[in-house]
Amino acid sequence: MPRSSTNPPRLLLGVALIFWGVMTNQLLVGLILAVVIEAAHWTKLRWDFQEQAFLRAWQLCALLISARMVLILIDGGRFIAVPRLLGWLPLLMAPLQLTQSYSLTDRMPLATFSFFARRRMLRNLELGLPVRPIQINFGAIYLPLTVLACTLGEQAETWLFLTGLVVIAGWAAIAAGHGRLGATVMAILLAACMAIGGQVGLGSLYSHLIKSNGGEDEESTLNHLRTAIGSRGEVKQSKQILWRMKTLQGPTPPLLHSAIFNQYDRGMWSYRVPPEQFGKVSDFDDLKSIDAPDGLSYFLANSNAGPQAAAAGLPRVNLRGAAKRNSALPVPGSITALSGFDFESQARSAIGTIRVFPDETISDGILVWDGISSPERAPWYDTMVGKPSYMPDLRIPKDEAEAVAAIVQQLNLKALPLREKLAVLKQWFAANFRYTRYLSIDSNSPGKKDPTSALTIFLRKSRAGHCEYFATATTLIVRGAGVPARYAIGFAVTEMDRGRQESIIRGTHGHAWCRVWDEENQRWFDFDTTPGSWVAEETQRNPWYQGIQDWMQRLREDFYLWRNTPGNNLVIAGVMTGIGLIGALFIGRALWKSRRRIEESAAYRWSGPVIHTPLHELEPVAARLLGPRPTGTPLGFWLKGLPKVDGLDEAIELHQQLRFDPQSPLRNEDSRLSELVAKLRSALVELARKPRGN
Amino acid sequence: MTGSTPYETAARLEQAIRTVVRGQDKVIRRVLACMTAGGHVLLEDYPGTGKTTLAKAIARSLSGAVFKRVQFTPDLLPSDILGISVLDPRTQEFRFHPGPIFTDILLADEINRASPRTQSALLEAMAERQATIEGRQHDFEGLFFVIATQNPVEFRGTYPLPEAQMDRFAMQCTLGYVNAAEEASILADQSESHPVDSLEPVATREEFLELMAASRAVRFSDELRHYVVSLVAATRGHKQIQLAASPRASLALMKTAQALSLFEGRDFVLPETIQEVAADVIAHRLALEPEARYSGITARSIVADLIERTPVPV
Repeated sequence: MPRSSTNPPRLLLGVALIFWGVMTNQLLVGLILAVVIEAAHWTKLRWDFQEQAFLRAWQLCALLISARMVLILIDGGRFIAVPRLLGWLPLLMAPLQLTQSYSLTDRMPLATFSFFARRRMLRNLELGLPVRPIQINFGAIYLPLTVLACTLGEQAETWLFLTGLVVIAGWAAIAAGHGRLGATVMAILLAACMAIGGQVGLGSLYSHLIKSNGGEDEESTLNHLRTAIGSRGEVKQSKQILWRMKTLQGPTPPLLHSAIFNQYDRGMWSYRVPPEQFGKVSDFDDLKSIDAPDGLSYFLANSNAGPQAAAAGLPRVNLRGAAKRNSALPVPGSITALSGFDFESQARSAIGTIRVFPDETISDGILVWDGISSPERAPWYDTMVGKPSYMPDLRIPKDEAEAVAAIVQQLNLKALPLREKLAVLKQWFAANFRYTRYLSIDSNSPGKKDPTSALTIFLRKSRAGHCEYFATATTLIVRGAGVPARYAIGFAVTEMDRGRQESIIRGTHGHAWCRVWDEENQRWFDFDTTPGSWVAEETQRNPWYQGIQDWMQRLREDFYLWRNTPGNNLVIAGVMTGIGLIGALFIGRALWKSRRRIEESAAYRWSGPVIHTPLHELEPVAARLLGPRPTGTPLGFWLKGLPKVDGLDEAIELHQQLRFDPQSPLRNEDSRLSELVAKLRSALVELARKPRGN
Repeated sequence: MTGSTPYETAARLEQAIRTVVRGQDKVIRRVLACMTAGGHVLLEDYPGTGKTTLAKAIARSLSGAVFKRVQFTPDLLPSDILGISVLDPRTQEFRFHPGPIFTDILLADEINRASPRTQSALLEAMAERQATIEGRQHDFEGLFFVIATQNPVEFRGTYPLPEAQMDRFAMQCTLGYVNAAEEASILADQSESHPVDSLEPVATREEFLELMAASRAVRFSDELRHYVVSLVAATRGHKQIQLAASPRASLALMKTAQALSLFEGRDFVLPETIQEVAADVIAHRLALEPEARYSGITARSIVADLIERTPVPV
């Protein structure tokens, strides 16, 4: 029997929780929660929870929510933290709902949720002022929370969700409503609209967050890169720490490249394999692993290399940061091996980009490099004798060919040996060009029939630009001088944290440069012509909170790694289980001591004979129109709430005489009543079928 | 007027008083039922809501019933109520001058303005229908009905009634403000003279005594007796109640429900009838815990909650 009308209808919370379990792939959790919460309707076990208990339950919930929030943030879910937290709410708020479900009272003071409201109430009590706390049933909050959490589940396709929501809303309306069709339909429609609206809203909010925070699709940047060449504005990069690098042995590498490209066209760098190589060169080859004598296992950057690539004497750095799935790992140009990273797979493209699939949010491992070799393959030369050759590493796009050729001519680059070529070129850039972050060259203005390319403007007119201009121009000029060259993006190692002895790599350290082929030594090496002043320009503008943000991030990453170390993992699990167990024991003991049963006080229950009349059988039928009869409402009084039906008053009269008049002459001859009840029953069934008000 | 059935008497009384006190039909019936059940009534409400008028109307509608009223003031003494022995200079003996308590209907107006000492003078009379004055016991015969009025205790110049005194009232009713239409009709009624002044008696004292006897004969099933007890017992051990209801409350609840059934024209009691008077009969006997009182909970709301929760015979 429902104790009171303020509780959500029986089974509604249970159904909602199971629905939540299905939507979030946590069916077992949802099922257990549903069973425990719904069991309250069938057991008489109760606790006399007072304000204090509700407060404690709320504090426990708040604690769980905070802990979950911290975990989500540590796991690197910056943009999805809120939706993910909301998705967990039914579980995190369960203590409060359980307290409500198993409480003798069916309401809790609203002041439970506010420290200040509680303080004010206590002060009013002290001063003797009248206090009228607002009482609410927490189920009314828990149900919408659960439904909201469903929208954020992994399985939350709109149609599945919609169906579930309509079922829940319909259930609620039927359970609460008294056959009111209009209200039921309205409730279902409202729920459906909110479901669709909410889902669309959340979806677009999420994608907006992802986009506006530079979380672009990394996969595309491995094969092509849209540079800022030819667009207007200011180059903006994030101040966030992306990587931290600790030099373990040998020098610190000045440049770490993430992706390398070999074909340029109108502001776009991409990775192209010559057509005749199709089928012979795969995009990415998995790195070969070896076990070195020092006991570590290494992945070799060059599959032809031997164990010497991981030799103990080679320079090595420790790299730590948040690598995304299917993204490029920043490595020194002469990388020979990597070790200690928790990657599902690691592969290298033919031109040197190392692609990784991290298992964990934060990656941490060792890069070994030698400063004299390069892992990527030699440039493609003409292998198709007799046909026009296609050599991507020497290709200069038509748009830029004229300007490039003029410079090559002017500096007489073709004639010089490699070292001198580069020295002259570097000198020329340093003397004639200026670094700026403000993009003023615009080649995309409409209306021009045959626009001069942005790069040509840079070379001939403006002579000012950012690293992408310098690197692209250098690459093309070096190619023009007959030397294969490629375009590399990555980071310049310029910021040193002396306290921790580690280099800090931020978004603002993002850089671009040129990789040049050294025919003599058969290797690629980094060549950077961007004026050194760019570093100073980048580091000028640090916001005041940068220090705190860096500290937070460092802490977060280090804690994440510490937590995921196998040994610590066990320690944490042990400690947390211990704390949880002690807490659970403590709560359990207190609960066991204070358990009560419903209606314990109502000891004076009539145990004598109870007269049964035919009218009693009408109760289930009438309940369909009136809702369940409250415990304290007499049957006759309750039935009078029904719409006008012939014979009802007479039947009630007869029932009351039979039932409550100890000297009723009617005893044992209730055939008239049976007759009336049969008629009434069919009338009520008819009424229950059509909506009220007709 | 002779030969009328108890129900007719009841209906007549009710009708007569309704012409004087407008818009309070339910309270009138309950107060009459309480009187019929031999209980005393405490009317508590704001000044000017018609408490005294109701009391006067009841007194006037009974012919042959002696009606006295005492205006309770802070300086009222117990002897002002019970009576006093005065030395007769001729006989040189003390002669007893009975006080206003020797009556059929006593209106104790604004009872909570007198000191608790004076209020207590009513205790014996109300419970046992007798008064012991200067060692001599005086019995009251037949009808003895106290209808007291008081302003809410928060008002200035009032003393709260002692719990023992409260327990002796079978019922406490509030009248409350009537709706605008009813108030307009009150104005119309009183434009020339007060209708209570022209109220003619509609029943004799004897008829009313018959009515009282008939009320005691109203049938009450065993199961409902248990229901009454379980309602009253639910106040005991209740978290928010300091002083729970006594068995006197159960008794009053049963008797009042019997009388009210009679007024409703039934010769047996229904659970609905018990529920209708339960708050009036039980609530004023309860003393709440300070926490409950300060958090705005009233005794009537607790009783209403208990009615809602206690399983009722269906």
